Amino acid sequence: MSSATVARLQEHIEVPLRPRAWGFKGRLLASGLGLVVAWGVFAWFHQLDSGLVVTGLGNRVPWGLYITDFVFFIGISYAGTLVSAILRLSHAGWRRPITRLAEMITVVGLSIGSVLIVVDMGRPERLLNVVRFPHLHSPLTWDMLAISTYLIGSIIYLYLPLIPDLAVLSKSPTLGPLRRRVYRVLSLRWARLPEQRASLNKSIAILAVLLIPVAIAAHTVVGWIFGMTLREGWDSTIYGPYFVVGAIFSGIAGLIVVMAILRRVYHLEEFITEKHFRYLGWLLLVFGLLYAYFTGSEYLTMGYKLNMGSQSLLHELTLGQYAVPFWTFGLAGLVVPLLLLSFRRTRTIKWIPIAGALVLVGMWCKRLVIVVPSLALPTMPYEWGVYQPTWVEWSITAAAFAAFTLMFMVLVRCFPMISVWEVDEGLEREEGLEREEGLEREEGLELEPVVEEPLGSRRALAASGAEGGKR
Amino acid sequence: MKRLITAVVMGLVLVGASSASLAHAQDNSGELTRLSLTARTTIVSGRPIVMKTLLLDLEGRPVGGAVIRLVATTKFLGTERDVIMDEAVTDASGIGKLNFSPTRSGTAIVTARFSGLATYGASEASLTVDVQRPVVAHHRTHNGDQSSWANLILILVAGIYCIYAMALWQARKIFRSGLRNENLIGSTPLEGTR
Repeated sequence: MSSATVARLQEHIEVPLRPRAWGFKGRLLASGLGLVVAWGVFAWFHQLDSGLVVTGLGNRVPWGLYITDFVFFIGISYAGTLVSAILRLSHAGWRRPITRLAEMITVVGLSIGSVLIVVDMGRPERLLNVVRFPHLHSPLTWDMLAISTYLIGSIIYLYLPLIPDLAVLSKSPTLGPLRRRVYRVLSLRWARLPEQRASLNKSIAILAVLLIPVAIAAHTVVGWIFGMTLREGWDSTIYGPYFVVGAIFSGIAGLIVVMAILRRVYHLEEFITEKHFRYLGWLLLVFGLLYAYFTGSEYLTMGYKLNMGSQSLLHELTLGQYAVPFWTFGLAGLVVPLLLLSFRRTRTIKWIPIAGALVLVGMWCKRLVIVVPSLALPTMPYEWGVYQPTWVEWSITAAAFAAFTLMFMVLVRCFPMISVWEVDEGLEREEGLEREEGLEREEGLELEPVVEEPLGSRRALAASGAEGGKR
Repeated sequence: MKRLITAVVMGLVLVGASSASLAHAQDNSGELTRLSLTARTTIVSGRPIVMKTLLLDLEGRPVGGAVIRLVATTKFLGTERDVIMDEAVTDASGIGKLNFSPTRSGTAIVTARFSGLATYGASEASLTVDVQRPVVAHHRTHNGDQSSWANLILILVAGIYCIYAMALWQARKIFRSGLRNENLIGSTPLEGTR
């Protein structure tokens, strides 16, 4: 490794990507989030002590906010697989600065989602029965297997590309000895040897190939929890792919929002450029259109056949007690973001994160209208079931979102949020290409067009002058 | 004396029994009847069917207004008993329609019974029906298939974990290479050469 490359690598990590201590605002935010999480834990203990009677759940509507949150967070977790694994396998060079964030979202989202399943259970200790007496014909068992497998794979997939960056951090004089020691152990004595790079690339490639089907399986099985039943609104053959597309849609939206926040807070304009937002905006648009197609197909077939159950369900969704979340999904989650992403004028770094945030709100509402109304719909000639979430459920929901943010803050506090070695590898590749181009020019050969755009980096900045990294 | 009492009691019992049977015979001492029972002999559990009876006198004339009971024999507390399943009154053509709703699969013997009237004697007819299990749309597959699916899922999950292990094995190679490098040049990781 040339000394210049090492210096640049270290420079990248030291300034500005090195995990930095929280400032006053950061500590204040972390304390606030910690309090919300603590309140949520208190609410959960209250629920454990008093039973599920303190929630709005009952024998008619046994699933509510917890399962809505669960599906939402599992959906968000798709960001890591899509952006990191798929783009890595397709050799999309622009992915490099955002893969780490995507992988972190996956791990945090899956962790929070898994905990929410435990919270949803009145007797959490009975979760062990799924392991002790597994019933492999139950979609719930499939779900547990798929999500735990996906979580373990995602943690390994987050860890492996961290190894080179941890090696650099373990040498950082600004960090304490304990942290350096931990980083040194975790870095597996990385020395950037060719055989180490080969092993690392091989292991990452193995996982990238594997995690895509695992993630698809995990989200399909989440869809099957609903689709394998005969309930009105759930009894659908498209629920597997519908959930996968919905998960990718909300996962990209989550990634865009996280990128926008961190870019602003940590001043990462140099690395996360408008190009990343534009490319992810395109992806969001494509998956938004796909999701709209699935949604239209789902409701149109239901509305065309219009048996008694469907009629009642559609009425409640569109005009009844679930109209607000339903239309919030339709307008805020689909129509407005898709319009924002469709026009060049609004497909900008300012509006794409807004579209992403709207998608997240809309998709949460969509999960609510998937879970609750189908359960509240009577299967016998009775009144509609009533579900009114209580303060316990709202507190735990707020705690889940706070825990997501807090866990993310802690991860960013401890590990580089941008995969420095991958960015550097991209720079080296560009250098190589430039050298090859120079040689070809000297030899009077015709130039092949370079497909891959240069990364938003210092070099790119230097080339583009004072554009502020908005290439 | 004791023998005398015993003989009297036995005599009374015999007289009583014979008079009772005589009375019963007198009840059904009318014209003899013929009862026939027709229905499908292969039916499905849980799905009611209609069994048709025809009551005729000896000369083949229909007997109307007669009560026909459908009886199935069932075992209760170790004893076989008749359970009345349905009851119908024959019309002017001597036809009665009885509903039978089998609840269990297997072979069932059902009997249509006419207890007789003042002018007609009793008669009955039996039918053996084969009650089959219902075939439902979302039935469970039999145990063999279930085990196969379960095994397939387990094999898949085990395969995924094996590939995770492969990836971690590669990470182990990273560690070993780094260790070897450090031993060779006695340097810190970043000072190693590419």
